[in-house]
Amino acid sequence: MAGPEQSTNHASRGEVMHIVVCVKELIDPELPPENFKVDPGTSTVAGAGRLPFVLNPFDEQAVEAALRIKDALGARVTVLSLGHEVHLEVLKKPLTMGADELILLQHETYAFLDSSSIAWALAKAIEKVGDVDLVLCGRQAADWDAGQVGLGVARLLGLPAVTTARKIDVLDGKARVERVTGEGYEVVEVALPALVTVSNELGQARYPIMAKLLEAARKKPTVWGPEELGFDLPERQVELLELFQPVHEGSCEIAEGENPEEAAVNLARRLRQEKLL
Amino acid sequence: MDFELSEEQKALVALMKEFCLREVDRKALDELADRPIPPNATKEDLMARVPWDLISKAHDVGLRQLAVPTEYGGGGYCQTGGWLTLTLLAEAAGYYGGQIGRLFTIPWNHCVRLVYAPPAVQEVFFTNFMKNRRTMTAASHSEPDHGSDVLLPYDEPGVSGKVTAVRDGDYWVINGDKMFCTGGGVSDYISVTVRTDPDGPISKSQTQFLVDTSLPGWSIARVNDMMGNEITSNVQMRFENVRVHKSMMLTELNGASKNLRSGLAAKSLHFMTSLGDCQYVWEQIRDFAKNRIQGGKPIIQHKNIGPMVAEADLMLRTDRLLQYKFAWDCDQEKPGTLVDPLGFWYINHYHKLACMRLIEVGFEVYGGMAPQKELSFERFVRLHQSILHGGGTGILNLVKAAKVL
Repeated sequence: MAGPEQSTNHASRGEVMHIVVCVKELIDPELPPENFKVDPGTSTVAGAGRLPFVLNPFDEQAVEAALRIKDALGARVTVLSLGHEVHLEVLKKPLTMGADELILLQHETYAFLDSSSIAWALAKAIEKVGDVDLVLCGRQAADWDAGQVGLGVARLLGLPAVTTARKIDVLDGKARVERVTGEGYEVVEVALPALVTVSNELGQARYPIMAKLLEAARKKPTVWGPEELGFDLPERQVELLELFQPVHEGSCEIAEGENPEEAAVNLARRLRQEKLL
Repeated sequence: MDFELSEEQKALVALMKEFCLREVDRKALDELADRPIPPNATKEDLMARVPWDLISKAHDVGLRQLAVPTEYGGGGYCQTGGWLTLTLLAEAAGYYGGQIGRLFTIPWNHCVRLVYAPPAVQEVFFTNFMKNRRTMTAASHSEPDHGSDVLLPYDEPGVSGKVTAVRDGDYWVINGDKMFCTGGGVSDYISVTVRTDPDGPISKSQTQFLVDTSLPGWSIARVNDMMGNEITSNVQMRFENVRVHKSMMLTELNGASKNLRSGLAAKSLHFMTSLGDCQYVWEQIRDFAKNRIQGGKPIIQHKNIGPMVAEADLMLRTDRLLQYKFAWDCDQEKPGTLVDPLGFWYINHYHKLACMRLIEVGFEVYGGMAPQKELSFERFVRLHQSILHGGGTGILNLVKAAKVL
């Protein structure tokens, strides 16, 4: 792919942009904790097949960011996702919102990858898709919260990366990004092609369009596997040692006293004893 | 047996869930419904209780008009094949959105019925529904002195059904009062069942018409102010020489009873959205029982509470299976076939049983908290006891079922 010095993107040529958005599905993060159980033997979520899955909320916002550019300038939006056993109705949601194509990277070897191998597979797919002006990802996934895949993809493709965008405009072959910082936001400009990760400050994603929802249900996505991407999937570099739900235990010790002032003194002493003060 | 939903169904349910979670404030809708109704409420008073902006958003998203035929711009879930999908969505709306559920199922119910109406009626009704987002839909059968008579029916010649329609040239002139009409005060069009043969047995003497509520002579006689009002309110209507064109006849002359049986079956959507609401309430009851410690342990571990909570769960699951099976059966019928209402009669009875049992369980579990207004359970009790008459009382439906066994 062209690096930043070779800005031969569609936008600068006045043609329709091509945006790729990387999305993943995950167990609904709004699920009540009691519905979520970890199998300690396999370090996986027990009965995950029966739990509700949704699109990663940050990825949904990345789709929204792409569609806003499409609304403003006209663009082709391709959605990429990777997994083994997937929920098509979840991954097709971007199509129902207005994206143009879904490419699914699907194979049994893609079941339990880590950030580096996911980034490898996505980068390979983006290279194969070709002619891409902008890659958008959610800033992190709402399950692992690692926030590494987007930057990994940018590194592998040799693209400049801008993180935590709350607004993206495209003009004259460049992306102007408002990115969220600890103090507020800053504005950066980056030549295309580039990769941008999108944050929730972008705002709410649009609803699916009913006609597209019904159309998407009938559509089959393009499916790629090792034959298209190559068989040299790198091994996991991160080993999961243990997955567990922390046990929260509470105990309550009442600070006694003849009156509120005395109780307060006793409380302060107790906190000092526990080295909390 | 394959219980897997289609991709389309899953996507639609996800959309309903998203809409409800984003747009619906359950408490605000409850407060709207609990707003006092003035003694001589007008249509304007009743219209002011309805969250039309929310309904309009539902239309923007495509949910409000799901049961309108595609040729009118709707989703087309009105024919055979769409019933299970509407049923799933009704449950999701009730579960995630509470009272919003009825704001969907009331128009869906009527759209499903009106698909069998003559083209002239469909044109008027569906065109108006798609153009005007500030309208509900309604159907009216019962009368002040004839409730169960109309539904059973009670066939002694000349008795039962006093609201009459008399032919006058190209018009039918309607006179009389109709009783419990949900949404009648906030709808542009109402399907009304009237007696067109003054002397015959009621099952062979009724006809349905689509009545424009702006016609001279139509009025709200009174508002039925329930212990738990719905947002759409429930009215008694007066017809004083209301002239309805013959083209607005929905059924064959004197042939309404056949349609009434199957048309009422479309009310199953209301029971499904109610089930969604019941499921939501049951989960709250369950969670309370798991967290409330008495006698040194969570009360769900006590022998009087745990089995009750489980029993309520069992009844709701049974209710769900009954309703899904009925919807699935309806979807197997040929297009245009009037569905067999037996399944609906059983649903009508059983759902009300499940609901009342859930209320009993809630009172046991919550104890003194149950009747307190800060708990949404209180409103649930009032609302669900106010709709026990819907489609006829529970036992009445078993009377009807027994007749055909």
